[in-house]
Amino acid sequence: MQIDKFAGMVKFSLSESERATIEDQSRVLVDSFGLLKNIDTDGVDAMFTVLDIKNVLREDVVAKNISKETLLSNAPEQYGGYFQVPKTVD
Amino acid sequence: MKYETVMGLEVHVELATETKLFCSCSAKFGADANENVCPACCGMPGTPPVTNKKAVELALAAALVTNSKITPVMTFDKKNYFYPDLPSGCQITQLFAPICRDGWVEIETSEGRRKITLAQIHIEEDAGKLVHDNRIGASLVDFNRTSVPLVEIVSNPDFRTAEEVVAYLEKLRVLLSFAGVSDCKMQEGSMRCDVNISVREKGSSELGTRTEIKNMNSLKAIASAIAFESGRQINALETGSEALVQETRRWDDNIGETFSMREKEGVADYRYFPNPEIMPIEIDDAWISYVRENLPEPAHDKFIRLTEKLGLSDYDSNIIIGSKNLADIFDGTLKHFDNPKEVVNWIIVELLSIAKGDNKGEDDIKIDCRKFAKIMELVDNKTINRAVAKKLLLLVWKDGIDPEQYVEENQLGMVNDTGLIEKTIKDVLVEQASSVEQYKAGNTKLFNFLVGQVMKKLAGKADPKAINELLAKHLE
Repeated sequence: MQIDKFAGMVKFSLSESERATIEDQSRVLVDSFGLLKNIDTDGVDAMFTVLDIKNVLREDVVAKNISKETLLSNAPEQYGGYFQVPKTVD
Repeated sequence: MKYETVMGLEVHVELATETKLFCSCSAKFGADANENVCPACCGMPGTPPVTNKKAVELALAAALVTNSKITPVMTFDKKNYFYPDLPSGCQITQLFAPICRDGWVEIETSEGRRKITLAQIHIEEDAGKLVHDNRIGASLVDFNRTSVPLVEIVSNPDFRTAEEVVAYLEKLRVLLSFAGVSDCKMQEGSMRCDVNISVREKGSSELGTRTEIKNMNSLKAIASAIAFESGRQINALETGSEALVQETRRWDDNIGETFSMREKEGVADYRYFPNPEIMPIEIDDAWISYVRENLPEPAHDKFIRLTEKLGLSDYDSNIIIGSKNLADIFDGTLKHFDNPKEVVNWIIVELLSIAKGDNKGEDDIKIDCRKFAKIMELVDNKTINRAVAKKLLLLVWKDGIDPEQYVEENQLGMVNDTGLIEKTIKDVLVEQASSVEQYKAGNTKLFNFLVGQVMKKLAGKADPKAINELLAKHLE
């Protein structure tokens, strides 16, 4: 399994025991998809959702529902109205 | 050995909506950092996306003007990657059922006309903006652009020359701006283009190793980047100086070269999957008809109207339809002053040169059409002469003055009093007796000098035609 590769993509660092747990859980998940593979789906339309809802749309009207101060108040670090993050370029 | 260049384009166009794609934040450009942000577009948990109907309709308009096949039921997907400008960790886009596929756009180059085929157009959200600040040794994130709606227009690898690429982008700009889809300004980033480029031996049917060039913000930069990159690839194949790898390269306009952007950690793995938070969107014939019927007049139809119905020249008409903004100014002014030839002349000769003096392009001109038309009307009914009119236009451009009121307050109205003009002419003929003599001796060039002297005494406010006629009479 490519646990390390996927962990790398989402920038997670895993301890040995976490890695083992996730590997076990992932195997169950992947095996379940293996089961689905055996089902004959010829002539069956792909199902996107189990809900019978479509076209949930809104009109193009501006609404402001939160202030910049509130928005930024959750940020661990902020600077001059920006969210501050570790440097992303050298 | 003979090589040919093969290119495909990915063009991102910002949709001209008021709000973002999945929330009601303003999509306006130029606000202070993080001013137009809410929990949904900065990726807070538990904030489901609600699709902007207008964005879908503008994308439908893009589908229609590019002759694309519209997908009856479209869906949105998540494209996962980790980067600080993407707060939710995934970009909402369309992979499995994009809004349309298989379109085409006809282009015209020195080689003639040909069709460029499109693989698909999909709707997606933009990412935020990162500012790298060396003083504090950190990166700063502004989420104002996050979730602003875009369409990405993906062509097939149909292009062989930079000329075709430029013609295609020009054509897209005209089609999309006239349909109201986007203002398509490359300099401001509302139209962006990535070029996928490879070279191969002429006659070969296999594609070579391709690179993707990014970061070009003008047609000129795109043409230069294509020339550089195809040259680099041909050189690599011929001399073996470097191995060609599939990679993303950044165009540096100052240096005039492309540079490898990053060593990719293997092939990018975006782990696309259907976005379960957004229900499928069914696009039925009624909706398509509604969008089609509400499309503004396409550039080509406008050209026919200008040339055939309004009797304008092909040359003038092409200038007007070269920019949606100019075309709007033309139509807006024509509404108030029904003389197409005059309106076109004033736009092309006067307005464009004033704008050029202010370093503004066709798309950036802002003028009150009613006031613009008023100036033409004042000339037409002989209230003011052209010289005064030109000054007025400059004042409308700079200060937004009201032309009629300004003429009245500053007494710029034309001198229509023939008696006064004749009296002034007589004065000038006495004062400039030697010039008059030379004129009568055959130096006809002095006629204009004398007209100028009369005009000067009348503070530039007389009708030059009247002075000409009266002066000619007096010099007989």
